[in-house]
Amino acid sequence: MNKLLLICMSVLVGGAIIGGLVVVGGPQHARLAQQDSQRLSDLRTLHTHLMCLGHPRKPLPQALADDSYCPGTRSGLRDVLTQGDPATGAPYAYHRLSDTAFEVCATLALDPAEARKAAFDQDTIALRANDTLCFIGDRAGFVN
Amino acid sequence: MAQRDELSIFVRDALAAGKSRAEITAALTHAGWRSAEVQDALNGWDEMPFSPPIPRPVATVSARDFFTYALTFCVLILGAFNLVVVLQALVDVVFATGDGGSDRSIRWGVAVLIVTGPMYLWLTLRERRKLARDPALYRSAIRKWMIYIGLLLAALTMLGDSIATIYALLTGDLTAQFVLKALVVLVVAGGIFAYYLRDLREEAPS
Repeated sequence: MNKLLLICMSVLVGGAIIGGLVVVGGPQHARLAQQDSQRLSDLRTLHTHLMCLGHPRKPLPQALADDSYCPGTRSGLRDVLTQGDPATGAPYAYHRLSDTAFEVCATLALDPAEARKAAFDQDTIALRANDTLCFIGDRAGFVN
Repeated sequence: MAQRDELSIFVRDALAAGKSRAEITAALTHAGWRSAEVQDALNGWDEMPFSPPIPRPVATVSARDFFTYALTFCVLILGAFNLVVVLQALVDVVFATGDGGSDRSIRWGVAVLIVTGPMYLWLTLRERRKLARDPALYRSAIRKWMIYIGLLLAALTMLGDSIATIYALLTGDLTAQFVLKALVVLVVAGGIFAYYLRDLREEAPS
């Protein structure tokens, strides 16, 4: 009887371990997911920098590296600009669409649709191709 | 058995002086001792007529037992708690309400289970073998205490679980998801309770 209980509990523990690993994925998957969340957070920093809310409006910079564009900008910005993509180190893609509209993009390792679904700011996120995610912004709608 | 020292010493002296058990019982009853207490005190000494009286084995307390059983106990509690966490997170995933935070708790729980699961199994099987070889271990007071504390915690957990379920029923929150999660707690706590209860029963021959 007790042996049976012990076996049942061992099976339950084994099941929980296997089930848990199937749901969250292995170490490789976790590493990629971590990179993707780093990319999202970097893009958010860039987006905030480019929106530059609360400051007088001026035309968007020609290049991302111009960090004088928005004075008093967030402290993490310099890291994002120097380190670039967490896996490749390449700078993030910045598309200047007009004097006020822009998008900053990154190529994700995992499904960007999932990442977008889990994000709190979904309406500033657009998907390009099937592995690229962009944060879009337009200063035109803002008064200053 | 006889923790009451005066009584125990009296019984020993009386036996040594050659009094019969019936005489001792009569004398102690006259003095106001209850029959269970008298029986306990007499049981502390072997029936065989021998002078001085032969003591029967009593419960033992050893630091090594404390190490083994406290370790087993902690591993069990840690493992059981995280087993519940992982299983409940899996229930959330099945019902598609899991968020980013549940991945983290599943990873942590799985890490704990990978360590504590085999560890508990090894400690328990090792203890079984030792008990089979040396039944004197059944008299370990620490072993008894740890088992009873485990039973108490398991019982309290099941109690809280049923209260939460009834409360959810009354507030109208009793969804299938909730029932499954409550069931997870019940199965884990109930399993531990049943296991240690059988453990106590099995050793009955003392």
